[in-house]
Amino acid sequence: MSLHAPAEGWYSKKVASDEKWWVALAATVCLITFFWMVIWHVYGKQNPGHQTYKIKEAEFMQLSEAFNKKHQIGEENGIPVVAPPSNGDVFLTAQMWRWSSIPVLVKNEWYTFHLSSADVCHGFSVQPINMNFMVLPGYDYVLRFKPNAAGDYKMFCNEFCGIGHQTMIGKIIVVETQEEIQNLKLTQPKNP
Amino acid sequence: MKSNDSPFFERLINNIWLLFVLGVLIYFISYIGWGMYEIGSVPDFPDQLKQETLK
Amino acid sequence: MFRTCDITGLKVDLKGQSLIRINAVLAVITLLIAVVGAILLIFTRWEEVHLLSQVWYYRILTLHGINALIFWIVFFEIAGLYFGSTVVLNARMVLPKVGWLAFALMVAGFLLVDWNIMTGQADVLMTSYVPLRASPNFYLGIILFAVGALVATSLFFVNIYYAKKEGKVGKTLPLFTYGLFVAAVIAVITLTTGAIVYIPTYLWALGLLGSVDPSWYRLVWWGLGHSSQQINVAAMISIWYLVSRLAVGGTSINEKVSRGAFVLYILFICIASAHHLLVDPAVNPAWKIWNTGYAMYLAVLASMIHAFAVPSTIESAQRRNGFTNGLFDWLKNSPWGNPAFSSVIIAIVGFGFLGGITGVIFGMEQTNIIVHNTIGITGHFKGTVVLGTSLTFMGITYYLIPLIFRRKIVAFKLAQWQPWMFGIGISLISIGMMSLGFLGVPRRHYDTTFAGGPFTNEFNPLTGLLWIVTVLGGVLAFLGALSWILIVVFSVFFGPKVKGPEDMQLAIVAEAPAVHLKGKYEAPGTLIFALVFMATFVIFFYLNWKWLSVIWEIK
Repeated sequence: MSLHAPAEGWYSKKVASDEKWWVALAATVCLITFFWMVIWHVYGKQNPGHQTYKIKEAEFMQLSEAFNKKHQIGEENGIPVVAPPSNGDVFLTAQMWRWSSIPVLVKNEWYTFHLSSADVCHGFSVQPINMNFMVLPGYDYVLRFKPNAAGDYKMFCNEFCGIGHQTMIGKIIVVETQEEIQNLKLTQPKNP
Repeated sequence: MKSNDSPFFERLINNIWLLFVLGVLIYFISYIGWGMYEIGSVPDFPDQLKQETLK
Repeated sequence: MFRTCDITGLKVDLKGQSLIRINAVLAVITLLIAVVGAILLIFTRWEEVHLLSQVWYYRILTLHGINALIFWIVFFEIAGLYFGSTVVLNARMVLPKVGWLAFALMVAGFLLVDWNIMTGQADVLMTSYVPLRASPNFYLGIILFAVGALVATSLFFVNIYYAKKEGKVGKTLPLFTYGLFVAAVIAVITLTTGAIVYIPTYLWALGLLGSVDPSWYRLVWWGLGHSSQQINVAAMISIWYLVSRLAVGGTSINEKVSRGAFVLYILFICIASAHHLLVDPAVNPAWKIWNTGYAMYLAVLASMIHAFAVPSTIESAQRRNGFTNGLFDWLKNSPWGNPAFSSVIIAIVGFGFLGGITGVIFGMEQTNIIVHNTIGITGHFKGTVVLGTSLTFMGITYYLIPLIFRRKIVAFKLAQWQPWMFGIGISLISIGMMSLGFLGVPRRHYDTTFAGGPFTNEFNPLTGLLWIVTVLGGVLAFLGALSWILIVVFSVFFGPKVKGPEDMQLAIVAEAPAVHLKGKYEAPGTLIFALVFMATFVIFFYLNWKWLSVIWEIK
């Protein structure tokens, strides 16, 4: 009884057969759910990476600036457009309230993203595929991506990062082939 | 604790103070302790990759 | 100093009673703050109206989050803990003075926090992730509140200890108090974790500490932020058992099973704070899977057990009360005019179908990628914390008003409608927000047109419609919550006094007779509901993983 202590012998009362079957079913579903996550690491194709490095904010910004300089092919709305080699590293800094570059990727090629922040926590939310990760200052989150469809993707910040958070949006361009990169219409940066 | 003739699980259910201790322990070991260990063991950014990128 | 209740026959310690009353009053005040915030927020997020300015949006969001998820719920739970450890056990409030000290600390903390938010010194949202920085007094306020709540929780243990020692209760606690004990243990875990994370953060805000690691902060903060909602789960389910007893005379069809489920909560529910760190850098997949999976979903198993045990308690009692026809006659003949009963039924369905299913699947390591920090997460916890916990707390209050405050409920007709208004409203918000989340709409975001940013974003046109659903739900839930607040305030302060059992508007039904039921099953109707629930779970599981499997490959 819920309001008084149960009557003597509550422990030895037999479990009704419907309750017994329900508990067995629930336990089975729980176990499957648990091992599903493990099995997905083996057979699934979407698993958050487990590689992370510690790095100072200023140092990471240096890396992402060096990366931008090396691979910049143009500019859009004042943000460098960069074309990293496939299988290469992409250094992306989140900063109140902008992303450091617009990466141009080729469909079905792998890229190693390094995500970190220059100031506070940010969120890396790629739309419309709805893929979301955290970006923390002091940590380089290494994630390998293989885009599977060409087009323009937006990346929002979806972790509150101060008033102004709602203006933080960037872009990722995915093209069909390597050759298409040359045909992108881009403005050239003013200062060489 | 007192009546040794009652089944183990019945005694466990009734032994609320033991459950209290177990609950706190499991949480602090599995979630907090292991989590802090993970955070503490994140390696530094590899020098080689740093040099390559800055080159 | 006891009075003997002329309705229940229980002995009520008057010192405990005043503590229950005062904590409940503060719960109502903080809920009012949260509810006013909620309606402002929903009309800001709906960009057709876009009510508040950006600064005030984030400010009110901070206020709403802390008042709704911490203050309202903890004040109510403290009232509940005092109730469960004194009145229910016929026992005394051992240290009433310390209870007042705890209360003073909590009120000081609540005032300090809300003051700092409203004066613009804490625009950091509820989570206050470092290195976003608020004024030191904001953190101090939270510490004061947490310490106060920790002291109050300790008093629950003291009461239980003495009740046992003085022979008021035997080896086995009543199931309601047993569930509250579980809630109290989780509260100790939660509040200790709160101290661990907020004390260094306070020192850092004062400039006494160089920095606080953001990853460490997120790990420990969520030990507070998520586990605090698990206190609610345990408290809420205890109340479900209590209301089953009061409203239809039901007792758990098997105490061993119900208690075993509570044991699983104590042991495993808090480690699922990892839900929030599934797409974080510093922790690895083994840690994530083990912790987010409650060590093989043992706490989910517990919830599924309760999902059967609570309705079967009601069904079995109703059948023994004579409603034996067919599968669902017992349900049709349940006391739907009793607002506590209808609140609990709506809460059970909402918590299970909306909050529970999404909670498990959003909280799996990989599927979290497609929902993390979208408004779908907000939709999920509207289902658990608001539809489940808040509505349950509102429901049990309809019993507390006559029994503890000794007043009749004013506007009883409105009280009978109130759970439905609030329940349907929150369901609409929850469904609306979860659907928006699947379309990528972020949570905690002032302007999804990104005005002032370098680009804009075209959302799926369906979002327009879904926002209307959400706003309609918001208005309905607002009216429901406001009705409850008005009913409570007017009843407690101006309602006619309860003179005896004849003034009880809500029945307290005698325990159902112990007749043996015919047939193989004790609760066949409940079994059907449970199987429908499981089928829904499987469908939702499939949809999410299907969606995940078509996005970019990630290693």
